[in-house]
Amino acid sequence: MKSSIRLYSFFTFLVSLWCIGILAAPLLKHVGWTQSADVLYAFFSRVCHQDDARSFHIEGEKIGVCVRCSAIYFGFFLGLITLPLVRALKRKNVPTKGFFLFAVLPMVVDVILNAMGIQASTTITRVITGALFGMSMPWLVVPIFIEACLQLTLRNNNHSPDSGVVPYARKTK
Amino acid sequence: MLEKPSKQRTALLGGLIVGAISGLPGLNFLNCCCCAGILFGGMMSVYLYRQEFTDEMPPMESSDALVLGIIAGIIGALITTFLSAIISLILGPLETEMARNFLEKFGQKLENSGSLPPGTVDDLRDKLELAMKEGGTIGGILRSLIYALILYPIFSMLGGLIGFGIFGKKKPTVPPIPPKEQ
Repeated sequence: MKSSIRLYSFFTFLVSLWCIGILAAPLLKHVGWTQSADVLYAFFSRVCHQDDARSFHIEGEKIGVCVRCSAIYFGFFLGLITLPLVRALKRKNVPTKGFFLFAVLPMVVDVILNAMGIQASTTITRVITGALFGMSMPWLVVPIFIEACLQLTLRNNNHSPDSGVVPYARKTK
Repeated sequence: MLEKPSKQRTALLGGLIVGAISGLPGLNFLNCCCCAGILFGGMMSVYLYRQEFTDEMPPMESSDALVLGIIAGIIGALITTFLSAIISLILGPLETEMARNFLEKFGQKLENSGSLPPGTVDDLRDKLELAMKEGGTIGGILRSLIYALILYPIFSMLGGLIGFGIFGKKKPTVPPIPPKEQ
């Protein structure tokens, strides 16, 4: 169980670094550290269009990613920190395909309707659909990530693969 | 019991999907939404790997998905950088023209319909010009490679884990029940 907590903490640390980076870009620019801010903006430009009109602003500067991406990443962070409050980290069962569809479908519909010009997406729809997707993903990803890392650790320590970590996948008879 | 199938082929295929989506102009717009193309590549590599398992093999594990996602991401990052550099060097002006036309046609249409805020097309055009200018230089290519080698394995790994959550479990095939002897 200790390993699970350690892995969960490591994962949460990385995600919080990512979120801090998103907020740090405008703050660094605001205090005059333009070069550092530019590096962060360039980094996040690989994952987001960073359109000024579709971004939240801090001190007049846009944050590292757009509204939808912010909702996804901060939703992911929120889902991650609330996950152990709601369910045990070592619980093996993960959500089903239906859960994934429930999480992703509203966002896909919002994007498609906007792209087709049928219904323009608004900041509210982007935040709601993005946050729904982001908050749901830790439920799917974190238990699998923890189990995967434990399996790799056991394998590296030359333990038997069946000594403690029960795979999610079906067991052969 | 047979051994698990090799990951090489599926990791390469996943990397190719990531590379094609991220490196080809037009398709790479998919990555504007939280690296959807890279997530998809990671998911596909797990899906394809899952298909190679038979009943005689040990079950696919989550660690397989994690490793597969990371390898597919690294391969994808290398392919994307190579592909982008080649396209910029050989087809630079043509690619810029294609992307500019695409922006003018669809961007302007979306801007007029209100789906994109005013000024977005101009902003994207400026970004395109800058990217094309930087893309051809060695410094630009190296910078792209470094960013890609950090980001792609992360997102591809996440895609692999999501893929494992969706495709990893497979219902066991039930052996036929022998008829009761009387």
